Amino acid sequence: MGSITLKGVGKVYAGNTVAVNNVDLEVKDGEFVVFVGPSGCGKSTLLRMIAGLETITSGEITIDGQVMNDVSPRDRDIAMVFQSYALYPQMTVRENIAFALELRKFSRDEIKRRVDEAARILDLSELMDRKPRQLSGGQRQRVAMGRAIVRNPAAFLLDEPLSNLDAKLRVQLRAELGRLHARLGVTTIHVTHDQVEAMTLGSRVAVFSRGTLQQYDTPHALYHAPANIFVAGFIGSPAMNFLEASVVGGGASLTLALGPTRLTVVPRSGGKELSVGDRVIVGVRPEHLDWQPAGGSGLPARVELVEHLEPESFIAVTPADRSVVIRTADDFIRGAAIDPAEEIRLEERMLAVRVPASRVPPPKTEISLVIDAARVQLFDSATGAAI
Amino acid sequence: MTAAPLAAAGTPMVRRFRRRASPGAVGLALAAPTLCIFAGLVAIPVASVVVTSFTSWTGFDISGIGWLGIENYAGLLTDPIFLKAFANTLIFTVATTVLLNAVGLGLALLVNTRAHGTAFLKAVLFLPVLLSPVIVGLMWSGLLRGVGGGLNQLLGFLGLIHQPVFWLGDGRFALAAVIIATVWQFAGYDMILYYAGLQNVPDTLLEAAELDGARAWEKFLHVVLPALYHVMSVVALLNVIGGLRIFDIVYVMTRGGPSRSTEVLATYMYEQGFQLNAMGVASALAVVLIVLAIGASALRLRVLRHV
Amino acid sequence: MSELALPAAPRKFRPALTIGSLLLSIVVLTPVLWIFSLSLKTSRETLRPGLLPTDPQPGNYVEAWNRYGLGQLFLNSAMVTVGSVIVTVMVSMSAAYAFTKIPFKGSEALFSLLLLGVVIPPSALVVPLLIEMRYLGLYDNRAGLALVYVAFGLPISTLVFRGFFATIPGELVEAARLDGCTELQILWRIIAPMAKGAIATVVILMFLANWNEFILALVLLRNAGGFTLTLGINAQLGQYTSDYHLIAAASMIAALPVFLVYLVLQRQFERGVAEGALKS
Repeated sequence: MGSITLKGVGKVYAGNTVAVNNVDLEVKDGEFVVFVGPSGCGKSTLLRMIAGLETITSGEITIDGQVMNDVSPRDRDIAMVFQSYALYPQMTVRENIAFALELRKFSRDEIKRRVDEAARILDLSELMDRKPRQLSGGQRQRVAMGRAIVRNPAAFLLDEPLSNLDAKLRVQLRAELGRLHARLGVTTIHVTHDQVEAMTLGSRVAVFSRGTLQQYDTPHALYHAPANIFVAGFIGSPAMNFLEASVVGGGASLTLALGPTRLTVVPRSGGKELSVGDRVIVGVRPEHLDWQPAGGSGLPARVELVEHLEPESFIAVTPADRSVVIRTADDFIRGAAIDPAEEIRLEERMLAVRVPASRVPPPKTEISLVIDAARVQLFDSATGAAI
Repeated sequence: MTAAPLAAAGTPMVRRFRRRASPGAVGLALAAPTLCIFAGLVAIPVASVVVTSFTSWTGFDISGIGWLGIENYAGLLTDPIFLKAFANTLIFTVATTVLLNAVGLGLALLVNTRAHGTAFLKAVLFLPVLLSPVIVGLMWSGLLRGVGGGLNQLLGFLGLIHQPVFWLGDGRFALAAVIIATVWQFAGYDMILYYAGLQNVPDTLLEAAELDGARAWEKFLHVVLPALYHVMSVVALLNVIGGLRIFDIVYVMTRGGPSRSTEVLATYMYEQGFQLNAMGVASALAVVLIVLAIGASALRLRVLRHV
Repeated sequence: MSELALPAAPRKFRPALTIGSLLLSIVVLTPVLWIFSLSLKTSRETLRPGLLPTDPQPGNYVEAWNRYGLGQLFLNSAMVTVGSVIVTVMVSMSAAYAFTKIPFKGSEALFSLLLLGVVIPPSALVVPLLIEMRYLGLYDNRAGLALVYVAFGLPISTLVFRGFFATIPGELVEAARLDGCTELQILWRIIAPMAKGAIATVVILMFLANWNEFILALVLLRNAGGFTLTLGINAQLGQYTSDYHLIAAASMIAALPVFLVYLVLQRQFERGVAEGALKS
């Protein structure tokens, strides 16, 4: 059992730095939830607040309906895996795993049974008498997991558990984490800055930026219906392209002007009403862009860089018409207005296009960029919220 | 969900909902024994010497205490014995600090060559550090005794003296004797500190200097010495503080004599407080000692900031 | 790494360095050897010229032991030293833990205040300490003296421990909290086993300081039955100058335990003393 509910949870440090801002979020029993966001977005702080390692300045955290705000970490019945693994250096693997059970006065037999079971699940049986310093990074990570699972806690809190591993091991242990969760079914909150980890592991993903929960949804929804320009830009690699456009024709479908090019899109029903003359941000993912030889009906553009990969390559292009403004999610973090000093940098911004490796255009050539109008997403040009 | 062996097994963990003590209170509780003992036996005594130094207390009847203001301090300034003790303390402090730094660094450099025999020297040098100043004083008293003393025997054997010299009974030599005994005791200590400092001289810097064609003494001056500034400041401060508070070795070797030639602040304070029962004067002397010690460490911090 | 710290002495200088080292060693050892020689002489011989005892008297040691009651002095010194060292380590460790891992309101200021204690000379506080210990009923009491030693040892000990604890990652402490440790359990079961080096440093520093301490014992003990070794030996000085050979023997006996411990733990001693000073 382990459902976790956050109601209006916030943390303000002395000096009025807001680390976590009014977060509402529910983790269902048995769910695997990922907190993701750039470093400093408050995701780790929030996790540590759930663990009881950080105080809460506002709101309420409940585990299985019990308010936890003033319960000490050791009484919350949650286990945590730290980025550094935090294994006790003077204890063997066995002692590390057994430590929590020993403190809770479990019988000797019960401790042995649980520790052996955990060792078997995590394939640690050969290493039980080693000290942490004799283990590789991946082995340490598994010991840290073992220390968490023997306790059979209400929830696992994993704080960047894979980020100290090299890329290959990370992918392998990521899969192991998923299998482990499927097997044990224990409620898990996993914090990471890696959106791939978030998308592959989470049944739901909470995206944070600057201490605020931006969107909390399934990976599919995050990708296809991002709540705002930040989420749209954060999920997916390379990031979604954003272009400023103006509305030139209304009705059931809108006609948008992107420089000389016209784009007809059907806005989501129930969204904000747009009328002729409004500015809007058009978001389009690299895979929803394609190209034709120059002179086609698309947006005239120039190929600046080609990144050869198989089976799909990426090209970076700049619109030929300099009145087409490329935006980034960062513009909206700083506020919608573009700093005039940024003008030059603005010129250098490029659009990413994903194309099959077999039809990469030659670099430094003019092309015509085709936008898949059915797949674009529209965002408010002032707030960055999805329309 | 397939087999969930752990979740299914045995008793689930008992969840107790104790309200937690605030972390601050726990921290304060853990620090409390230290803070209380320190407050009771160091901080309060410091406050009390400061207060007592303004009174005429004789150590007996509390009702007889009179408030004197700065009279005790003013009295010290015109007290020739205090001035002598103050001067001796300064001479002792400066002499031991300079000698110990020079000797300590020199010995550390010698030991650091790792030539045969230096390991033995290192161990031998450390022996006096382990001794109580009382025993050190005793050893040197024995060595410097007029009759039967080792030094007189040596000098007599060499034909340098024909009459026994009473080194500790002679105002010309007594202070120097105490200084030498102190240097003998702590040379090994400072050597160890400098030796530790030498281990931290960055090899890359030395190699760079080598490539630049620096000569041995240039490397020492421009690479080794700057890397030792921190150690040097620590050694100097320890020597100064140790010099200011010097008591045991003087007390054992000369009791401040002959005719005050080795009187230092701490021995004079002891005399005022415990032999003359002038607690007010003794406290004023204690305040002078404390102020000098704190002043020395503040000065070190200032100097370090500029290095 | 240190071979380079000084330009390796040219090969031709090495024999000179060796000879110099041995000569210096002899010079440094002279006072010790002199007292040792003295301790084996007869009473009359102490006043006569002569480097070595003509008729060595090992019996001097037995006589010194019996006449000065060295057994009792030893016991007193051991009790005061061991007691004060144990209390200092435990108390300063928990304070250092609080200062580094559970900072509380005002902890920075309190720590700075504690640090001032490193430079306060104990000799300056003998007057108020005497009065306070009388008032507390701890005057002429070995436990009282040990407590004063603890008070003067706490600043440097806390400083040494704090320096080491600062290198222990906070996540380790947090993991222990989640595993169910109370703060005291964290300190004794997680931190202390990791801090063996720092504990050794503090034990060595405090052992040396308290075993050899003189002025506080001089002021706070009155009855010879409770005297520590240094105090007991000092009490013999000036009383029977003709017994110099016995005082010499007593000094050798008093120095012996420290020498022996040093012989066994030379490396730790040197490291401990250096760390105690340089980490501050």
